[in-house]
Amino acid sequence: MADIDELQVESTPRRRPSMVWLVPLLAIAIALGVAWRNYADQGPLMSVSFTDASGVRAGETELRYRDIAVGLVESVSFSDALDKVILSIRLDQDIAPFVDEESVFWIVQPEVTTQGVSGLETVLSGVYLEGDWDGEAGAPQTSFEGLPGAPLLSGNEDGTAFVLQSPTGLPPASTPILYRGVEVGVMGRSDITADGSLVRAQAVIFAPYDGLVSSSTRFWDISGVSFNLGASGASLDFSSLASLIAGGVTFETLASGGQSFDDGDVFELFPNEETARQQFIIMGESGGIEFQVIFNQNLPGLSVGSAVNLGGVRIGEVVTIAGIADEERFGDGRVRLAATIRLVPSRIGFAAEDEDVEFIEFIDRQIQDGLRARLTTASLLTGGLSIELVQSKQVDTIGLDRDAEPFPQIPTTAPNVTDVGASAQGLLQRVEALPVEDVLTGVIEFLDAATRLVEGEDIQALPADLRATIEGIRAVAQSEEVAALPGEILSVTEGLTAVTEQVSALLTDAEDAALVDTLTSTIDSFGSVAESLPALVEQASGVLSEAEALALDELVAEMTDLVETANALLARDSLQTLPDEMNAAVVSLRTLIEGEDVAGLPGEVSELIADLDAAVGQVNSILVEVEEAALVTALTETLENFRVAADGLPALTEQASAVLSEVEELALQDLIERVTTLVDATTDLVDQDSTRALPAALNESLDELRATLAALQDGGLVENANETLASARDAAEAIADASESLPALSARLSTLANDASAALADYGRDGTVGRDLAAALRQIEAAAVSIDRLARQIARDPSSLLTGR
Amino acid sequence: MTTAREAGFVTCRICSRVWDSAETECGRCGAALQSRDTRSLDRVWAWWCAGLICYIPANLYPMLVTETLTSRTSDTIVAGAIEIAKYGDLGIALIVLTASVVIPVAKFIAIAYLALSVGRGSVKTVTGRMRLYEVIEFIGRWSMIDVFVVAILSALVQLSVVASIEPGPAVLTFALSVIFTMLSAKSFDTRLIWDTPKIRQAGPI
Repeated sequence: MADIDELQVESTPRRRPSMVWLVPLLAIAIALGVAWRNYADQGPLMSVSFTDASGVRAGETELRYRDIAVGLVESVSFSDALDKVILSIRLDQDIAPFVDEESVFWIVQPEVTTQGVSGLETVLSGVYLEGDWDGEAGAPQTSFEGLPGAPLLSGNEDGTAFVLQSPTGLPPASTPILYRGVEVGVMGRSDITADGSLVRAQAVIFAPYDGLVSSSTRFWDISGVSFNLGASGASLDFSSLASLIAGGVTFETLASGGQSFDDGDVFELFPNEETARQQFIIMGESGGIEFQVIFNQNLPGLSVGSAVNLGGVRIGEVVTIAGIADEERFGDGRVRLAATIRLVPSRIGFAAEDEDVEFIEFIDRQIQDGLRARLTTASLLTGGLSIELVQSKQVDTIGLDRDAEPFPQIPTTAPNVTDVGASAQGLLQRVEALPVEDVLTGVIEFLDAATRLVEGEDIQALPADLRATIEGIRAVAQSEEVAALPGEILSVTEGLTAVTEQVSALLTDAEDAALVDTLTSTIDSFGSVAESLPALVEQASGVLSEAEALALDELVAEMTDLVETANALLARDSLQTLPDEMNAAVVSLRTLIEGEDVAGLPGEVSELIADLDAAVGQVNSILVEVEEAALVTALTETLENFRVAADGLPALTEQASAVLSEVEELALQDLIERVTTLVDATTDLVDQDSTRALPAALNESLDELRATLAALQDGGLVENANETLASARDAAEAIADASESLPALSARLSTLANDASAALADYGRDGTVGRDLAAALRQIEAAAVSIDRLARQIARDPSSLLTGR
Repeated sequence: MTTAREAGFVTCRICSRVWDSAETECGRCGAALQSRDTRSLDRVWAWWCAGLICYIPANLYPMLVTETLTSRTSDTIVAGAIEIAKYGDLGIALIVLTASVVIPVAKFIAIAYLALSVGRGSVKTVTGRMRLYEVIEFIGRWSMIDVFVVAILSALVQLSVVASIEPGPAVLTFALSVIFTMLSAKSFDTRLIWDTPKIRQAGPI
């Protein structure tokens, strides 16, 4: 039993292994499967060599095609000579067939250029390899030469690659080629040709723009700024701000036709548009026709490439220049200037096909009409010459010398050359000959003298003196006397005028002798009247007493008789009118006494005296103001007159007394007789009724007379006269006062006049101060001009203050 | 020392009830009774081989693929541990090496030794081998620590472009290797250790 079991135990494993063994078998199978698949999927290994493989790391750096990873750098090694880095790249299986001999590889690195930033992603991820190949499988290749940079045209871009060259320099790689502002191509890296004469660069024009280019196309550089100073003024050109910064190349196809654009064509890059166009004009489609010109004058300034102009149009250029001396041909041994010029017929409209013959015929005809070649100044500054074809006056039969060797010869005429250099030199020589040194020395000396003068003590003190003088004058002028002087003079003048008028009027009146006499007599009369009034009254009372003593009875009887006779008389018609007449006469008399003439007389006299008083007052005041000696004298005389007039008053009184005496001396008897007669005569009148009214009328007359006398008394004649005398006395006193103040005034005026005359004398004293002042002012002016010049100098050149120049 | 087999007994490995050797079925739990699993070694070797096969790519292929902003690094287990050691973290490097290299390799060796010794019928250090097996059983699961670390890291560190960690192909094979070695150890019938060849050859069950 145990044996059987033992046998079973021993035999079972050998017969049938455990099912678990399937697990390791499966694992092995899977491992093998994976390994085989890895191997089978592995693409070919290829090697790319670079001179520089910075940033490439084995196992990490990818190979990309259109930015998709298609391989991996497996190892980095060196070539045998250590001059290259060889990258072993494991390609993806599916892309491998396309990597044929046309494939290119380059390393993409972060790059910051004026065109922008490229390869930015490689900053973080590290560099990668970019490969480019077309979409057609070709013969496989495993060894490649890497490019230093990205090719101009990648596989998915179409375009035409060409070469740009320039003797001077080319824009940097990846400079865009612009056509009317649109980027249509790009430039590659510049290289120098083997002989070192040219700079070359690959460039591409992308399809479809490559159709824009033909052999008539000219390329020029629009990088940067061009500044031209020409006959038409200054011009500053730059194509765009972008091209200013980043640079750029543009082109223009200057003529239709031309050969089409092919890969590998070579174009020249011109520095600017003008050069490009001119080059095209001259070198354009046809090479032009060459002529020979021999100038009698061998002038410097003409150079190869100088313009040949016809009527302002550039039609060609100078090709060669040589001197020629041919005694046999020209008759003397002078060296002449022989230039070969090339004229381009198409510039003046000759078609391409018939240009040669037609153009030569044209030139021939023109020469027969007087066309000549002459040298003319092309540039005033550089003294460069150009050749000008001009219509000369001399018309002759000379035509184009077609037989001249080596080219047809165009006759010449006198040059039109302005030797600016000689003129400028002459000008400079004249300037140089100017005695600038002497002038400067003189100026310096003058300035020194002026400085010394200005610095002198006298001149320094002058302003102070001047100021003191001015202050003195101002003090005088500001003094009250002087300030009041104009007012006083004005019032004096006014007063003088008034006084003159018054005095003149007064003198006129005074001279009127009649008036004075009348006045005198009038006053005398009144005076007498006044003095004799008491006597008059006594005489009147005497008269009345005598009248009382008269035999009234008789008188009455007579009166009665008179009345009776009067009655009889009155009984008569003729007498009836007498009382009326008498009455009228009395009335007339009363009217006379009551008349304004008589009544107004005292008033008039009073007014006259008042006027005189006023006049005297005015004269007094005038005299106070004016205090003029002559006037005083005149007034004194006037007053003398007045005194004389006043002296006459006693006489007047005496005359009045005489009048009254005469009245007294009148024979009362006569009067009584007359009165008796009158009474007798009037008794008859009295007898009449109308006569009875007579006493009443007489009474009235007496009343009137008394009233008149009263009025005379009341008229204030005496007071007026007294007042007049008082006024005259006042006037005399005032005049005396005024006379006393006159010396003081004249003393003041004299002082003022002395002061003023001293001041004026200072001004006028033989002009020393004036001269000094004028000189000082001139020096001050000169100093101011110097300071002004210095200020302008500093303003122009502030550094001169520092540098001391 | 007398084994149960020598004493004529057999133990139910499910419920540990001891039966007479003649019994083929456990009267209590119904499980089949077998005094010795004679095909144990066969399965042990089969799992062992599978584990070993898986362990090779687990060490050749990268365990972790670390992508940062600028670089993408993929490290195998040993290379990673060496790199950690370069940075100065020797302790961590030792842990990684122990968990990922020493323990699995030791397991392979230990299981192979046990299987070989049982196959040859060696009777030496019986208890020592028994203890060795227990150690292997206990320690085997810790080998998965690497896998866990990778799983957690790759789940946590996913910062898009800046940094991300992804499990490499080695994780899968390493995990398989660990699983297979565990199965291999499990398949081993420890009772075989006690059987001397003489007993096995001549001894009745």
